[in-house]
Amino acid sequence: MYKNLFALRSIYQFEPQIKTNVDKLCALFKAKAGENEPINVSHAYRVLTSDTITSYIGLAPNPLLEDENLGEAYRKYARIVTQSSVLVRHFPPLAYFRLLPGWFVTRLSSDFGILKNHLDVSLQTIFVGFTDGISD
Amino acid sequence: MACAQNEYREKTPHSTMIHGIIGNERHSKTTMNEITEEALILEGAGTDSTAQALEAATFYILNNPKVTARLKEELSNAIPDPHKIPPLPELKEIKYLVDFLFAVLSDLANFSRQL
Repeated sequence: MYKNLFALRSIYQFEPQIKTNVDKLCALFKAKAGENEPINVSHAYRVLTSDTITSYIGLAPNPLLEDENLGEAYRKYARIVTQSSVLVRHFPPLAYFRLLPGWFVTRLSSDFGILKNHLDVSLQTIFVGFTDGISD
Repeated sequence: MACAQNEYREKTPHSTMIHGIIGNERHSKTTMNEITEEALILEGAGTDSTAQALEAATFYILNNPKVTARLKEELSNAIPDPHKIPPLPELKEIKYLVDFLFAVLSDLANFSRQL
C-alpha cells in the first residue's frame, strides 16, 4: 500500500507543492519579523507539515497556512483530529458518532464535532468520483 | 472505477496513498472506513514527526554558531541565488546539509528511545 507513497520518485513529483508551502511559511515569518513578536515555531512547523502531508496523501487540502492564527489552526485540525481519531481507533463503537447530526456531536464533545467536520468536509471529497468498489 | 481513478490522477499529478489503495487489486475489498483510518494515521504521523525534526534542526542551528556558519557557507556556495532553490536531487548533493539532517534525525531517534 505504501510502496509508492515513500518512493523518492513520488516525493520528487510532489516537490512543487512542498516549495509552495515552504514559501507560504517563509512569507509568514517575514511578515512577523518586523513586529517584534515571538513566533511559536512549534505551531508554524506543524501547520506546514500538516498542509504538506494532507496533500501528499491525497486528502482534500485544507490550507492551514492561510489561517491568520496558526496556533488555533493547528489545535483544531492537527491535534484534535489526531487525538480523537486515536480514540476512535481504540474504541471502535465511537465511530458511530459520524452517523449523528453535527450539531448534536458538537454539543456532546467539541473535539468530536471538529473531527466529524474534518471527516465530512475534508475526507469525503476524495471519494467523490471513485466510490465504486469501495464499500462503506 | 478505472475511469474515476484516471480522473483523480489528473487532479493530483503525484502518486498518493489513495492511488495505492484504489489502484491495487489486493485492496479491492478495503472499506471506506479503513481508508479513512489509514489516512488519519498517516496525517497525524506525518505532521508530528516531520515538525519535531524541524524543531530540533532549528534548535541545533540556533544553539551552535559553528554549525550555523558552516551551513550558511555551504548553502551560499551551492545556492548562489536564494530565489532559485535547486531541485531535491541537487540539494541531496550538499554533503554538510545532508550530514546535518542525518545527525538531527539520529539524535531525535536516540531521544525517543530513552523515553
